[in-house]
Order: sequence, then structure tokens, then C-alpha cells
Amino acid sequence: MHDEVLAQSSNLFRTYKRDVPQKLAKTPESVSEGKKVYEKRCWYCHGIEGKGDGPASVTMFPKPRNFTRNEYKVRSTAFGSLPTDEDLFRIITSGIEGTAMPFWNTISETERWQVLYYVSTFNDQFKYDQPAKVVAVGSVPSTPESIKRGQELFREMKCFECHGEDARGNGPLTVALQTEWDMPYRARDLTKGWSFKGGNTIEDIYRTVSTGFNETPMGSYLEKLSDEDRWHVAHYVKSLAKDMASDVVVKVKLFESEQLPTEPLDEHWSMATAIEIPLAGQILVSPRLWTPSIDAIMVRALYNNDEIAFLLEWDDSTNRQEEIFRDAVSLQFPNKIPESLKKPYFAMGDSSGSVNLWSWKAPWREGFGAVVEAPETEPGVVSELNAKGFKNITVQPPESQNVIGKGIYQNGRWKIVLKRALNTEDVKGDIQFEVGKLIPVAFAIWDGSNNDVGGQKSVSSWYYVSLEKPVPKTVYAYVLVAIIMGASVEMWFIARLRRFPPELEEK
Amino acid sequence: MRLRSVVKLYKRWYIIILVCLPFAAFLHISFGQERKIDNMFLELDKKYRLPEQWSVLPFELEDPYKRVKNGPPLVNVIYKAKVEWLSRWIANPKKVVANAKMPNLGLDFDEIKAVIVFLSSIAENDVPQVTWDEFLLKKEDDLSEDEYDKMDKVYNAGKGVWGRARCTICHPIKGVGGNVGVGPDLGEITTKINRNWLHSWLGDTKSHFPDTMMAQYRFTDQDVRWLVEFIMRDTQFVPEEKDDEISSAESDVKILTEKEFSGLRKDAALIEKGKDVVEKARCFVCHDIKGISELMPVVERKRDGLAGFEKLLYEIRCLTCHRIQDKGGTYAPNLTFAGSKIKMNWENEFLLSPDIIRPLSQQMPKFNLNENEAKTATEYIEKNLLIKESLPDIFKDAPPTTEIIAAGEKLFYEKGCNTCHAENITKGGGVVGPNLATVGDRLQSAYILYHLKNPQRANPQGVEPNFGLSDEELKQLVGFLMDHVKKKEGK
Repeated sequence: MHDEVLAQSSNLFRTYKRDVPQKLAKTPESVSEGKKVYEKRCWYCHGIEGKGDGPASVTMFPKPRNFTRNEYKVRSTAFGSLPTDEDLFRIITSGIEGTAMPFWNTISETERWQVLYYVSTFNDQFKYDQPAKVVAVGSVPSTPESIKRGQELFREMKCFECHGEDARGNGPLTVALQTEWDMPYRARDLTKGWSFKGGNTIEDIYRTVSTGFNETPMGSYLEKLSDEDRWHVAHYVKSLAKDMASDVVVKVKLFESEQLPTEPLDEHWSMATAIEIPLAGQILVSPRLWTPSIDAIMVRALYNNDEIAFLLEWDDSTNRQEEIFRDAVSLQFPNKIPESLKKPYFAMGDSSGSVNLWSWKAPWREGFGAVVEAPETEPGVVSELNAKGFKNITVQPPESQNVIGKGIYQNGRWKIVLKRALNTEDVKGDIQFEVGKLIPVAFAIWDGSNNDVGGQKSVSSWYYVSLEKPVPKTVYAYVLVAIIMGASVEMWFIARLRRFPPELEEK
Repeated sequence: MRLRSVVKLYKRWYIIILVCLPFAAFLHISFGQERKIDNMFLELDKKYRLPEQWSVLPFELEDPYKRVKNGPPLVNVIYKAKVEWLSRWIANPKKVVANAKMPNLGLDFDEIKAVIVFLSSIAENDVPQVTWDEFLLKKEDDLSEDEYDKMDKVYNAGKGVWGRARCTICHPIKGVGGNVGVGPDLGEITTKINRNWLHSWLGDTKSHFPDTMMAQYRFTDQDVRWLVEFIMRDTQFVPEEKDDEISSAESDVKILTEKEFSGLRKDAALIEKGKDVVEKARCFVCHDIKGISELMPVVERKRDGLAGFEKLLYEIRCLTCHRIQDKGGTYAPNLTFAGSKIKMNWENEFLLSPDIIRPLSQQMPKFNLNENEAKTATEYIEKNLLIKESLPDIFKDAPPTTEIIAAGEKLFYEKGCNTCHAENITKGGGVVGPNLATVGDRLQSAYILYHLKNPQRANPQGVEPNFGLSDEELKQLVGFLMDHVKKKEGK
């Protein structure tokens, strides 16, 4: 079991584990043992009476499950019915990605059975309802035709109303529920395969489409779609789901053409290698962001002899901006490339290490107090700052503002370009890029409609930018010369052997 | 069909359970799960839940902003709104009502048609027919001079009701007003509603939409009739005429007409299709729709037998604007500690007939509460909404002397309080803060002291500066303010 824990914690994300060991008998003793486990490990979030309102629940979104109601999401049973004990065991073992629910394979299997028996005492339905029938999950292989049919069904079944045309969780219904009504429903961004509740294997997706999530807009399609059609939809969704392309170093390629791309939609960006970096809410300094809505940023960059340009992309289901709450992103570098391993503090630097910030803010239309949508084509506001900790932030003087940028919002995704000269005159306040060195970089994103402002933002720790050394042309010439030389020596040797064949036998 | 059988099944179960219940009780069969939670946990839990300075209230407050379903029930929507309006609304809500919160679902015309026909199929009762004076139903041009005068009188009386009810605090008109941000824009309301429905709605909003945030004003039937006339006649509720270009572009959008609709009403296939669209488009997330409620079961609030202040809070929806503890809005003053702040005689009078306190802000609407209701409210406030620490009252035993009052007056002008506050009507002063002419009637002297000591402690969002007054200065100023009572007004 110890190995299992290690294997889990080395992963970036929680995975849904379907294997369930032999069930423990449900006895009054196991329930009362479960109570002990619950009151040690669960109540702080789920509440002492199981209502999902424990002391820590205020810092959470999604909220902890209310056990007194049948609002169980990940189930193998039909919509509206209770989960099986095995379903509960799986969730306790696997945790739920994108929520605060950890994987509890750190406690013994016996304890997991016991605690789920106790949890089921909060809802009398577990006592009186007939055990629900499990929806069978077969297996149908994915084909291009199946995916195509799934895409058609995605439209016909109006999945896009919540999940969005591009499946980024930006459908009109989700936007309305989130921004107009402040309701707790957020449709899944189906392009983020790591964030699926209850797993992202094809069987898991099929199960979710078939059984739905109780008490949410995600209903069951068991009756609306045939078994075959549900597989089509599942295959389509699976084809959308991507793993996070995480890496530690943003490898910046030399761009041979004269001008670096300045437009977010420039096709030359496809030359650069993109990496994805996970983000978390800023909870070090008050005001904290307990409930971040942006969980990843995609970064790529290109450089030429004079300049470097970054393309930053992230999914944001709304383009809503309020008077003081605007969508924004910032890149953070140390003022100087550190000589040793010591870097400034990753969150806005510290008194001994100043950081250089490149910030971009979404434009917003006029209007006091009103929630407005940012124009999709206006460039936004770019500024360069320095910081020595959260309270010590200075905007650089106008003559030292040399970052330019442009942002665009399309189909639930922001794309921002930030560009600057490799070297500037402000040697003290600006990072000076050098080819071949590992340059620390960190990221922060503000989601205006999530009320992110100031210190309330999604942040990353330090990552690295590396400007790759170009391969000089002479390298190829050396190889050629070596091959020619090698060949000529060989030819000479063969020719010599032919002319003077060695004596085979000495007499 | 399926639902009906389910309901029947439930009914049978209810009967069985009801019959068995006495036997079960007799045999000591327990229905609930046995679960004893250690007292320590419960105490700990309570500590986290309730900030120390808050009192435990006798009933759990309902937050009007946290509704189970945000849209109105759609059962009788066909009687409420005109078919053409419904058609335009579903096609693009924001185009019809500027501050619409319903999303554009991107339905095509056939789907919209089906949805409207389905909604008409679930309708229950038509709105009660109201008898109106005949001339009120005529268009303005058709009225005789005599009739016009009579209509104009009704209209003007309605204008008065509209003003006293302060409808524009919640409802914007063509984008103007609507400070609280909860009511729909009424700028084109005449294209939507029918007269009888409006009469019924204003008379009893909660019967149409139990979760509505709109206050149930204590209108008389006469008031309602006047108000209806004003809304149906006034030009501010009629859409502005649009440029030819725009209107020709809009005319491309197909609209279901009353005539086409009446031909389709009973089309069973269309009803079935409409139901399918409603299910797929997830309308039930925000609306209670008869027949498909099981797709997203929710906890309904039980409001039967509400009484006293709880009933009043629900009907008037005080917490749409006011806040008590962690529930309610932020537009009007926070009432969490109102019982330690306000003198109850004044409160009672204010509830019966709200007066201006802050000249620049909106004043509270006139809900026409009766004496009993005002008494219930004041009693509740006095008993429950208190600051836990006892506030010292320096003038408890002896009222302030004239010297103290004179010193306080001097201080008032020295410190420049008059920049924001008017001391009384004749002397004038600023209008940012409340007018202080009768502040001695309104506020408890202990609270005035508590407030002046540190204005931000009493109200963290307050803009009043903390002057760091000495105890002696505080005493003088409190004495001076206490002296501002009604009988001395305008001295």
C-alpha cells in the first residue's frame, strides 16, 4: 500500500480507480468505527452532521458533498438513484480532481469501508431504497465515424448550451449561471482531460453520459440516447480531452524570419513548443483566493536576435469584466538571472530579491458598476512593474515601459502576446535575456468574473525559460568534411590493398 | 404520463406509511438513523458558524438572493406574456429586455414555436378577469374629452403610487435606474403583459412566483388599478421607435404571431417536440416546469404557516436591500445591530411612513404596513438585533446641560461636521450624511457615542472620518446631537 501512495503522489492529478477489493460486512460495529474515522478526517469539510457545511467549506468551490441529500455525482447507477457502496469506495480511494477531495488511499481499505457506511447513515434513503441497478458499461472501439457521429449528437442533444461550441465549458447557460446568477454550476471544460470527475477513460465518460450527475444540470442520457449513440458521444468527448502538456522549461526557439509574430492568431506560433503549467489560488497573503477558476496556462515563446515574444493562452468560460475586476495575466521574472540556485520568492519577490513583472489587462467598456464584456479585438493594457513582495510594487516609469502586447478572446479562450527586446537600457529593473541560460519565470492570472483582483489570483511557482542555442551552419560542414575524409582514407586503403594484395600464406 | 404514475405510486405509499405510523410508534420502531454526535463537536461547529458578536436568531433567515430556481415558474406564462413577446424573448432575451439574465439559447424558429406551444399546454388557470371601466380599455385617440379627463385622473393617481412605491429602486427603465440590480427593465413592458395579469400580479406577487424578490406591497385594489393604468399608458413603458434600418434588419427575425399560434395550440406532435427542446436546453435549471421537475429535484422552501416577523420578511423581502448577519443585500443599511442603534418609537413611525434620512440616497419605499406589522418588526429588532457588549450611556441619569450642548455645537462646526451633515433645516449643511435635525429621536445616545468613537467600527464601509475625539469632546457632541429632537426642529 505504501508503494501505491508514492505512485499517486508523484502524479500531478488524481486518477479514478475502478478496482474495488472485497467488501467489508456492514455491521453496527463497522458503522461506529466509521464514525471515528469521519470525525477525525471528514467532518472539517463535510460538516459534523454531514450537511457539507464544515468549517473549511467556506474556502472551497465546488462545495463538499451534502450527505443528507442524494446529490452524489459519480455513480454507476441510474440518474436520481443512490450510488452503490462500491461507487463510494472508489471516490474515497480516488478523490475528485478539481475539488478539495483528496484520495484517501492513505487510510486502510477497512477504514474506507467503515467510513462510507457511516456516511450513508446521514441519508435515510440508504436504509429504505431498494439497491439501485448498475448501468452496464460494455465496450465499443472508437472510430473516426463514431467520433463524427458523436459530434453531431453533441449538437442535437444541445450539450453545447452548457459545455460550449468548442467544449471549453463556455456555453451560454453556464455563462448565465455563473455571472448573472452566481449559481454553483460550472460545466466541465471538456478539453481538459485531467479535470473530468470520475475519470477520463472512455468507460468513465460513457458512464457519466449514461448516469448523469444527480442534482446538477448534467442529466442522464440513458433514455434520450441509444446505447450506441452514447458510445458515439463518449468517443467524441474522449477525442476532445487532452492531457496537460506539462514541462518545467519553456524552450524558446530562434525565429529565423525578421519579425517576431505580434498577433495572437499568427500562424507562426505553431513553430514554437507549447507547454502547460498548472495554476492554483494565491493563499499565502490576505486577501486570498480560495476558489480559483483558472487552473492552467499554456505558454510558448519565440526569439530572434533582438526580441522575445510570448504567447499565453488560457480557457476562461466568460469574457465578463467588472468595474474593478478585469481579466489579466502577468509574467514574472527575477530582475537578474540568478547566479546560484537562490531565486526571489516566487510570489511577487521579497526584500532580498526583486522581480520584474509584465502585466496585461483586458480592456473593458465604459459603464459604472455594470458587468460588461471586453471587446474581442481591442489590444488591452500592458504595463511593466517591479515588486519586492506583495506590498512593495512599483510601476516602471514611462521611459522604461518597453513591453508591448495584444490580447484576443475567442470561443472561451484568451490569447495574449507579450513582446520585448532581449536587452534593455534599464539593466537594474528589467530582466536581460541571455541565450542558453535557465531564466526563472512564474505566471499569474486574474479572472474578472470570479472577482479576482489584486492578490486574489491564480498563480504558479517558478518555471524556467531557456533560449535555445541555434546550431551554427559550420556544424553541418564539419560533418561533411569528416565523411569525405573518412571515405577518401578508406578508398585509398582499399586501392592499396588491391594493388598490393597481402601474401596469404607464408612459405 | 410517467410522472402521473409516479405521483400515484407516491400517494399509495403515503397512505401505507400514514396507516403504519401509529403501529410503528407503538412498537418503538425508529425511522431515523441512530447517531449521537459528541457535544464537543457540535459546540465547535457552532463556534465556526456564528461570529461571536452575532445573536442567535429565533428562526433561520431566508436569503432572497439564494433561490433554488432563479427564473419564474412557467406554468401560466402563456397568460402572463403575449405570444409575440415570448417568441422574441426566447430568440434573444437581451434584445427584448436590456438587463435580461436569461441566456440566448440559440434556438431556431421551429424550436421556439414548439417551446411556446408546449408551455401553453401546461397552463392551468387563466388569470381572473377583472372588470375595468370601459373607457380605460380604449386607446387614447378614441377617448372622448370627458373620458380622457377621467382616465387622466386615474393615470395621475397611478403615477403617485408608482412614486411612493419607489419601483425604480429595483426596476430600471430603458437602462436608467435599478440601483439594486434585481428587477427586470420595464422600458418595454407594455409589449409583454396583459392588464388582467398585471392586476393579479401586483395584488399577490407570491402566488405567481413564490421565490420572487419583489416586495408584496400592501396595496388596496384601488391602488392596483391606478398603478396598472399608469403602467399601461405612460410612454416610458412603450418601446422607442427605431430607425428604419434597424427595424428592417430585425424584421428578418421570424416572430410567432398570435394568429399562427392559435392554429398550432393543440398540435400534439409540436407539444412533444417542445417538451424535448425544453429538456435538452436545460430550461428546468432556472425554471420550475410542470411535468419535468424530476430532472433536477430541488429543495423547496416550506412557507406554510409563516407568521410574525418571518412572514413580514418574506412578503416585503426586506433582505433584498437590507442585510442581517450574512444574509441579504447591501443596498440599504445593514440591520444586524439595528436594535442597539435605533430608538424604537422612531423605527415604528418610520416603518409606517418612511421619511428621507440620507438626502442623496433613495428613501425606503412605502409598503403601507399596518400598525401590527410595524409593531412586530420593531419588537423583533429590539429583541434580537443587538450588539452583545453593553454600550455605555453617559446621559442615562441626567440629560445634557445647556453648557454641554453649547460646547457640542461649537465642536460640530469646528470639526466641520456640517460639510456632510445638515444640523437642522434652517441652518443647512452638507447632504452626504444623514440630516441630523431629529437625530436625537432616531438614534440611541449610547450608539451615537459608540459610532463617534470610531465610525468604521460601527460600519466598516462608512466614509465618516475618525476624528479621534477625546472623552470630553465625545460627551459634548453626543449631548448636542441628543438635543436634536422633533419638538425643537427649526428652532
